[in-house]
Amino acid sequence: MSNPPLVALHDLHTHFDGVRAVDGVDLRIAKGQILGLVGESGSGKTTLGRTVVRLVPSTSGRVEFDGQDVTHLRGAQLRRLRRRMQMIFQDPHSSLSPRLRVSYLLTEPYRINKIPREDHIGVHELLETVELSPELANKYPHELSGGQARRVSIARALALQPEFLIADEPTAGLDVSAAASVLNLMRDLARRFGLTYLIITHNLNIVGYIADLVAVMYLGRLAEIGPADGVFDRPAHPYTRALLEAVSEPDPRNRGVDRRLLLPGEIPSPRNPPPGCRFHTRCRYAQPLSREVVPELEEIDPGHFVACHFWREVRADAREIRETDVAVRR
Amino acid sequence: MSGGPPPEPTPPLLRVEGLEVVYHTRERSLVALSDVSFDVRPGEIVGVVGESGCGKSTLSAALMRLLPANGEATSGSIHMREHDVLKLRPEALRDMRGRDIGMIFQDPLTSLNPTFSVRTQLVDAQKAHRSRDLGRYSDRDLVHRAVDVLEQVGIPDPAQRIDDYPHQFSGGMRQRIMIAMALLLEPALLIADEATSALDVTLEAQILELLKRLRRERGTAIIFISHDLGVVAQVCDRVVVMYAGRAVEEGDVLSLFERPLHPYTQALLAAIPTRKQGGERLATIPGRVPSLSDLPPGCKFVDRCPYAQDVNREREPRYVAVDGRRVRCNIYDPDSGYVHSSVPMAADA
Repeated sequence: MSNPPLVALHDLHTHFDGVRAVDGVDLRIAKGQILGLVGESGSGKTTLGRTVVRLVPSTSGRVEFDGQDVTHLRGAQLRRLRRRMQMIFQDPHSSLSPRLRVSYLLTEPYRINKIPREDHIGVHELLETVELSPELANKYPHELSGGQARRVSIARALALQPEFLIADEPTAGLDVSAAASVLNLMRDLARRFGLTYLIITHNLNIVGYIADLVAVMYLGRLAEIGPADGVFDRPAHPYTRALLEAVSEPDPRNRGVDRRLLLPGEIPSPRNPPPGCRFHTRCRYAQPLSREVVPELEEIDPGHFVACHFWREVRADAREIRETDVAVRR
Repeated sequence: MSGGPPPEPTPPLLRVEGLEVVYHTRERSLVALSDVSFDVRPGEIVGVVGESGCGKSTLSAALMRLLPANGEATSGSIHMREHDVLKLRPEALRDMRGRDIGMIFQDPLTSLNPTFSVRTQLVDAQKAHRSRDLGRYSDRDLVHRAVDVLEQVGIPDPAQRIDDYPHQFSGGMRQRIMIAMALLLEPALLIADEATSALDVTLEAQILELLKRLRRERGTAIIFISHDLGVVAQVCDRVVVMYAGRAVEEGDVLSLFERPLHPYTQALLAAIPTRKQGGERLATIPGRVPSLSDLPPGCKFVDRCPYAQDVNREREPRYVAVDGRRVRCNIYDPDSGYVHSSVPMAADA
């Protein structure tokens, strides 16, 4: 993390209607990095993304973009910021207006942001960028397949030539092959245009495949954040471990040795989060301290932070289990 | 370790043979399933996988005789124990549904009625099946049974919560209530149609463990219909891969994932993102699933297949046995006329 971050959040809070959806998040994404943000539904990950692009107002804290505090930008300044950061929404069929043709949808960002004509990218070029046939320009969203609609929303986000993209569940609802080609496309675009991504997903296979950094969110706060290799290979938060154990890998040889940490119960309501460590109600490592004191993020390896009072025990157990597994498999 | 399938000679619980299902539309008839055959043995978990439009949902509807009004099973047979399902009269069919075959869906609200309490629904479900000999129980006994089953599926405080309405439960809890409802009648076979697809990984893992426990403790057989090959790899004993309304490959889960035979199965497995593949481009399948109204005459996968030859375009492949597995592909059929060059198949997974 030597580069100055392109995006930095400082103690960011987003509360509404009594829900503390985002409740004190700090993170930095360097230029060109891909951050995968994971967590269960209700963890606040989508609200965090929407707060960063200023679709919902933050309650307190700061969003910095390219060194500039953008938390309270308005009017023309906000529009200029929007050219540089774009969001790709979860369900393309509900974010693309059904009455408008693809060509109109792709040029709409220019009208909204009052971009002079000479700065427009042509519809055909946008379609080609996302590997779609120019013939689709005259279609309506309902005439597109799920994968095509997803590509159109990516093209729409690219129209303004942003530097930073937030993608919310970019492959949700797609078939295996369509999902794979959307992921390939996102990687290609990142390389070609030097894009920085925040990818919000509940699918850890995707994060493992594409992300440089992984952030794990639970009830509005980060439980763990760090380089993907560190988080996947040496997770230190019990929640991260539980999530990783719950992933169904497409390899039947892994059956039987997993699921030891099967997470009990469900995520509590963010309306009324548990005091102290929010995860303590489902945590086998919880002690009285966990119920009283909110754990702060602590750097345990370079760039790898965890918010758990007992991360040393978690890691020691993980090591022991790995060794037993190896012994069992022999 | 899980129980695994019982040894071979056990007669199948469910036998599907040469099933064809047609949807009639005003202009024409579309063949949604063609020559689908597979068995489910007692206590076995059989996965049915494929992309959208492959016929998975038509298959589950056909097994329950719940096809929409324009759908018709035009040939083949479905035998559930001694019943010839396609010939059952309405009354016998009602008895079979729920009692012999239970069903759980992706959206629990398709089986739960929002206007009745969980108690009412779980008691009524039992009363509706007098043939299961539940008629002799009093209402109180039926409530007891319901509470027991709710407890088994992991609903906390079931005796209190049974008076709540579906909307008062979280999504994961509703999923459990739906499973409880299916279990009350102790079906020998449970069809789970994308039953965990909408859940978070942690909840999904809980429900999968629950299904595995059911099989272990009650010997319930399960047809696990899913587009998620990861989940299928984790829970199923045997897997049927479907494409364009056909079963294109069937095998035990280990060999199917380790050495997929059909080019479609190979392509599906190669397209799954995993951490191990980081850095590499994912394999994708060119083109798309052909529309039912416009299927190629020979192999239905021919336009997307890297190994296709002219013969595949013309000849509809047979379902042939290979190493104790079955595959619908001309490449493996010695009589097909497919010309094998030096290395016919690229992929071992």
